[in-house]
Amino acid sequence: MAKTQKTSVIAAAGRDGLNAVRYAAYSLSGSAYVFLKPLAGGKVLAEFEPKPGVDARAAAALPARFRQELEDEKFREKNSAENFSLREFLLLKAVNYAPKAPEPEPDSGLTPKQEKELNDLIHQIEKEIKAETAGGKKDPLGITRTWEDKYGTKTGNKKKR
Amino acid sequence: MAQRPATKKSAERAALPHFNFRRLSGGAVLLTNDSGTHASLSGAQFRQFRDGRVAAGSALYKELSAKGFVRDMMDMDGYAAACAKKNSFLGAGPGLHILVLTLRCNHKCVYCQSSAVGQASRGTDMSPALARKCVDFALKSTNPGITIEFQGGEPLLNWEALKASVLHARRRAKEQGREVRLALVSNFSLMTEEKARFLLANEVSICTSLDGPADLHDKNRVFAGGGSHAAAVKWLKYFSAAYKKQVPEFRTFKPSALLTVSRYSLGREKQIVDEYVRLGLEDVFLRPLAPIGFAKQLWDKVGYAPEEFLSFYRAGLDYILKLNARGVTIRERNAVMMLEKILNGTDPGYLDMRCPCGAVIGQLAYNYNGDIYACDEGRMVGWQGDDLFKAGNVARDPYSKVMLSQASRACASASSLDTQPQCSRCAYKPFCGVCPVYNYETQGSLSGEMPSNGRCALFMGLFDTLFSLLAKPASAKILKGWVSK
Repeated sequence: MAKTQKTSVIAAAGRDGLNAVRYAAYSLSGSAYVFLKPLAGGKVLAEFEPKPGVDARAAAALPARFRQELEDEKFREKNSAENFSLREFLLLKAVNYAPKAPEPEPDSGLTPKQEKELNDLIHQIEKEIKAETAGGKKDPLGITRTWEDKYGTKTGNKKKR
Repeated sequence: MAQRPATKKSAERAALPHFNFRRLSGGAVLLTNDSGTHASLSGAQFRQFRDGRVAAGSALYKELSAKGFVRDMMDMDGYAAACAKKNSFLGAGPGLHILVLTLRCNHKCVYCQSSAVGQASRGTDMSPALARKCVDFALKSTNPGITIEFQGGEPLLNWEALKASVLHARRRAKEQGREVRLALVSNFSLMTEEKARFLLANEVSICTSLDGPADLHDKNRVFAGGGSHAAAVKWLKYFSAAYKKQVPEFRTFKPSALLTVSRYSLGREKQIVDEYVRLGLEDVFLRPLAPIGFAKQLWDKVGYAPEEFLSFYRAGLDYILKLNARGVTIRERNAVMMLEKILNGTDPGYLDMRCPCGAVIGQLAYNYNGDIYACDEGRMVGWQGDDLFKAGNVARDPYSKVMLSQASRACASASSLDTQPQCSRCAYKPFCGVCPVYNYETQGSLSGEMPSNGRCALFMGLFDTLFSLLAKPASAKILKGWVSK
């Protein structure tokens, strides 16, 4: 079998972003050995050597695939950077998420507005406590706790179905 | 010079929240986000969306807003709630506890992954006392709904340990006032009326292997003592009849069957599905073989490339959908588990497709000698002399030590998709998971390299297949019906 030719693409690290170049190169590494070489002027040469078993047509398509991946990776980099703080906030919110408790019966003597204010306050305090403790403890998810640690040594209190 | 309209482009670009995307064949682009919602756009719609040119008020804008793809319109509480729901397993504690009661087996399956030894071998049975210790260890898990699964080898070859652990688990569960599910995975060749009655009375659910019609099953699952298929079918019918009958004294579960797809199965998808339908089974799991443990050494004989499996899978699923359209009740398990995530945002308990994977934090495998492994596949690697996935020993190590073992930490870290260069940017990230044992066995590292990873290619293909079917109204209706509550 004839040896498949190497192909290459020149990317601009400054314009495209070196991370995007690396991610695009990595995504092709199932089909080819990809060599990244720095060039003068902030450019990067991406060389593709098809892996055994990759047919000539797929090998020839590698530069085009790389350019498409590079475009997509540039966008991903940008989108990820623009949303870093929001994403972190949302995931922290998810980690501390507690389902809303059922609405209490209106027997507290408070007006609905006062009731809401009190609930909001409790909710806020709970959130703050959770936010303070998350990540601060060695085992925030309680992974090392046993059933007995969590529930005590409860015995024989449940009838068989 | 005419003034450019007030930085509209950059303002709209900033309005895009974080999302992942994948270009599908045919030009469509799939969007997903951390909360697990998805949207399928045409190529032109995607360009509009990416460039911030989707007109506010358009149908597409409304759809994208509702699904959390418009930053200014995001329901933060709903988003966080969805993320929390789909990851609720994280702090639950291991739910699946696999007790390997013996390594002995009376079958010689061509693809055997479970490190079985001959029936006459000695020194590979779990003692009843150790089996009870394993049950006690499993009950330390904080997971409110644990499952203890009895496996082997062939677990019925060690009936005394099986019986002891079932009785002990039932007694301890009653003492603790908690629900414990018991499950047996057996080839049924040693099943008797007496054993079957004991299992039913103690609410043990039953699962067997069924690889398709008799000739295929018996070719895959070689049994010197007679037809493996005949025994599997006989007892499947027995347990199905018991399920239909139900008695007031105890709950009887519908028996299930597991299919392993070997090279011999390729091209026979219709016959396999027909066999499941004939036996009244409502689920068939078109389960690929993995080159792990002893199957790795036999891969040239019984294995296949991901593309070969995917052709088999697509043909099988297509046939199942046609049967559904004709009113036949049969579902495909891969699809069901993936659709649970995609459509319902829930975790179906499939430990191989979690992030992080189920190793230790979702499951533990107890070997016949009390050694605890991160998962059953890790145990198989251990049997080859590599204890990388060993997390401790029932007799020697406390629960907390096992949970914090190096195997536990390494697997959790390696299977966290945010640490994987390709997975972290993949549109299937909210629904997928990697397997450190597979990576280690096939690529020599726990993290692996997804661009050349066979399992990744396989799962990508499964997701591509499902999303393309969800885009077609007729198949979407059937698929949605499989996971509707």
